[in-house]
Parts: sequence; structure tokens; C-alpha cells
Amino acid sequence: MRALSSWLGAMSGLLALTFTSLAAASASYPGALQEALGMSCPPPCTICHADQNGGLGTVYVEDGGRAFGEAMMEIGLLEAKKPGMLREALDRLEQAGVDSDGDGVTDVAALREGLDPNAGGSVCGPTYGCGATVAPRRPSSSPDALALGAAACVALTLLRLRKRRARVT
Amino acid sequence: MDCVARSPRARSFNERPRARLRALWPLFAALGSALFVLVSAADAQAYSWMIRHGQGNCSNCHADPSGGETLTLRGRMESARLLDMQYGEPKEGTPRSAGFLWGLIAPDDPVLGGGSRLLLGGSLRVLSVTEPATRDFSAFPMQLDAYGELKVGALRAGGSLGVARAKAGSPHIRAAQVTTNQGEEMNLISRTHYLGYDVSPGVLIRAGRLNLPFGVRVPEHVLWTREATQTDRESDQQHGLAVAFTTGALRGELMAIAGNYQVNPDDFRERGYSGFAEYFATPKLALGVSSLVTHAKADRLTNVAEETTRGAHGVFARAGVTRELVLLAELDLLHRSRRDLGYTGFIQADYELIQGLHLGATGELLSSGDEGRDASLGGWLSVIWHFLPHLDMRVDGLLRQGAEAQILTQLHAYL
Repeated sequence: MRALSSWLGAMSGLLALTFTSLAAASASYPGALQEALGMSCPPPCTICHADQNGGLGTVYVEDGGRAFGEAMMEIGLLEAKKPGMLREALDRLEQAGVDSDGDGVTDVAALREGLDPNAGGSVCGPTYGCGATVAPRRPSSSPDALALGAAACVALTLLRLRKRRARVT
Repeated sequence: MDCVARSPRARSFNERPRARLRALWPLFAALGSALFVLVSAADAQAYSWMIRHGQGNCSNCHADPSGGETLTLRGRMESARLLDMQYGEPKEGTPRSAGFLWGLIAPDDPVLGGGSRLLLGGSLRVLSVTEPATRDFSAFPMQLDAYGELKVGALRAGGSLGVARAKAGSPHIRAAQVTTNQGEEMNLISRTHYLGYDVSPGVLIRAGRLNLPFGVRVPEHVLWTREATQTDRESDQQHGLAVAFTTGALRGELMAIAGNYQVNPDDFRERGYSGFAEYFATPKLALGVSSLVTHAKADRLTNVAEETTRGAHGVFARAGVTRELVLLAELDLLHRSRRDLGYTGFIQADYELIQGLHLGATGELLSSGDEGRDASLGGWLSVIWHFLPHLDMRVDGLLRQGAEAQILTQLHAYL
């Protein structure tokens, strides 16, 4: 019983940490960009960064980054890890009429049309999954009652099984 | 007096596990509910440093012959005997807690072993990332997977099922999605699923979505070497056909990659091969070579709609220098369309201070071949503590050129 209590305690800790972490999660730049411009897909990180991992030091062209990313930093005055500044930065870029690939369509207009502002072509990358769709669910800032209920179910079921085993032996 | 004439231990293999599984259905249902309401994104255990115990052959302890995820009966027993921190006097035999769900199914239960067997497992991993310089902190459930393998005679069927939520545009988790939400909603994921056939005790053929056989199989999926070669076990698996072999001092696996059919459209699917061979010069010294080449009509990672061929070719080594110290190393040459030649590698030292408590130091390097990007160096310092059966925690300090210093803290439970 003592062993059971210890692991139930540990699992509760894990679950508590899990729920805390859900509240701590923040929005991403691709998600914020999609929302700001009403795009049909979140753009890949590579419209700004050298690769899909993003990160500091991978935005400027001389570091392998993309012209649109550099324009967002230099003209849009966007700062790292502040997706809240995105709308303001896009406004600045639009007002300046920045056209990174020189195709006559400004970067912001290209993105609104679902085009890559660096090189034309679709900005939407591959899609993922096999076909089924789970109904969207917004992140919650408070612990999910259903989740807590499920965790309680696990604990109660384990206790009952242990008791049953104890009776049998 | 059925129990006298026919004790539980004397019951047939088929009868007892079925009854046991029936009795456990409420638990599975509850766990299933929990899986569906929690959220996550990444990877499981594969401890290449077990070579310190002369156990370099992964198929002894894992259902996957190249290591990782689902444990065999022996894997569970060795985990309790060699991985977990021991408290008090050493005890004889394998503790019940080594079994599935901390002993709900005992480790010596016939359902877990024998000629036909059902292996069950799962992993819950919570990660926090701290950047001291910017005071940035985030924490999230990184993995919430259930996995297993059913083996009947020479046939096997196995895989994993979990839930995850990734940020929009994230390169992680997406490629393992089963459901099709493309935003920040929750998704059902399956990293592996396969059918297999044991041609002989040393040869296994599998078809399905499999971990790519390449290099040293380590749990650190963000290690540059695993990311640059796209061979991590977080979501880099591909569909295909693989043959794994273990013969005396040689083991290896070769996979024909048919593409990842959880990525659409077909233009983004990579086709080619991946494989490794490893030779045990001594029970505690293994040397290996790996090679991978794939081709796709478009580049999934850079979203460039041009034919893309990429490859990685390299060498690796695992050495149990002393009982306490293990060294792991890998060096790979990289090539990719529209990029220069690149290279990546790491060397990792694992020192077991006392049983269950490991200190780690890793050095890594990466030259991706991207124009304008110089080669970078990185370093990790790690403390890993297997503090209770099925439970471990680790703290990693990362310092990489071109990135802020990070502290990663993980709490991990495996079922």
C-alpha cells in the first residue's frame, strides 16, 4: 500500500505539473501571423528563419535567414519572443510597402494571398494526419475538470484493483 | 475446489491473460480518458549507455531490435536491477513493481513473456525550459504515449498511440499526427505502428511506421546530430520495410523508406533507405557505420517545391570504459540539395555516480551546409536520477553557439 501511495503521489505531481504547464504555454509566431492576416494555414518558420527550429541568430539573411524575417526585425521593429508585437510590425511593413522578393506584391499582401513573401509560391507547407479530425479545443488557463476527473478515475480504479487483489491473496 | 485442483499458475496461457485483461478494462478506459484530455509533444527511453553492463544488444530489452520504447520482460527486470536507485539492503529477485503499471501485471506474469507475449508500456514526460538570460520559462507535457507489442508465434504487431499538441508551424510532432488538426489543437499521434515476422531468432522483418535505423539511439531528440540527420524518435519515423539482424558480434538494421504517409501531399514524402551496422569488438566496445539517402519532390522542412535529395553517412561508437563511465560518439557527413556539404557529431560521457544517479557531459557540433551559416558548437551538462521504479528526472544545461543558454528539467514516468 505504501508503494502504491508513493507512485500515486508521484503521478499526481506529474499531472499537477502538466496542468500548470498548459497554462504556461504561449502563442507562437506562425499562429499569431495566421490569425493577424487571416491566412488559411500557419506559415512555416522558414518564412523568417533559416530552418524550422527557428531560434535566435537565424533570421538575418547573413545568418542564413530570410529577407522577410529581416524586414520584420529591421523595419517592423519586431523583437524576439514577443509575438504580441506582430500586428504592429506588420502594419509598419505594410506602410513601408516592403516587397522582399521584388515581384511587385508587397510582403503583407503576399501573405494575405497565401504566398511566400520571399520567393512567391504557396506559403502553406504540407498538411499532417491521416484523415480524422478532433474538434478544436481552446487552451484553458485553469485545470480541466474532465482531466482531473480522469486522473481521479485512474487512482480509484487502481485502489479498487489493489483491494481486490489483497482480498484474493 | 477449483483453486486446489488448478492453481492460477497452472492455468493455460491463453485463459489467464485474457481474464487479467478483462479485469483491467476499467483501468485502460480511465487511462484512455486521461490520454485524451491531456496534451503533449516527444520521445522515450533508449539508453545506449547500457553497454556498461555488457548489454549492447538492444533487442534483449526492447521490442524494437534497435532499441527504444516498449520493454521486454528482460528489459523490465534489468531496469529494476540496473537502472533504478536502490534503497536499503539489496533484495533477491525482481520486485513486483518492475511489471506493467508498477506491478499491476507482475513482471513474471506469462502475459509479459514466453513464446507468445503481450508487451505493454507507456510514457509520460513533462518538460520545462528556462532561459536564464531572458528569464523565459515554459513548461509543457512533452510525451503522453501508450505503446505495446503483441507477439503470437513468429508474428508481431505493435506500435504507439498518444496525444499531443504542437504550436502552429512547429516542426515537432506534426509528422506523427493521426488526426488532421493543423493548428494548436490537440491531435492523436502514432509514432510507430507495424507488423513483423521473426524469420529466425536473429532476424526480424517489420513493415509499417518505424524508427529510422541510424547512428546512436539516444533519448535526447533535440541533439543536433538527431535533428540534422532527421533520425530522432520524436516524429522522424517513416513508413517502410525493415530487416533487423543480430548475429554474434554483429547487429544492424536496414530499412527501405516508402515515405511518411502521415504527411500530405505525396510530394513531401521522402523515399530511400536508412541503415546501420554495429560490430562488438568486445562486449563493452561497439563500432558502427550508418547511411541514409532519401529523395522527395519537395522539401518538407524548408517548404521549397523543388526535388530534394538528402543524405547522411557516418560512424559511431559506444564504449564502456569502466563500470561507471560510458562514452558515446557519432560523426556524420550531411548532404542536401541546394546546400553545401555539412557535418554533425557528438560525444557524450555518462558517469554513473551511484546506481540510479548519472552525470552526463555532451559536446556537439553542426555545420548544416546552409549558405551563410558557420559551424556551431554546443555543450550539455546533465544530471539524470532514476529515483523510484518507473520514475526518473533529469536536468540538462545547454550552451550552444547562436542560442541563449537553456536549462531543461524533465520528469518522466514510464508504465
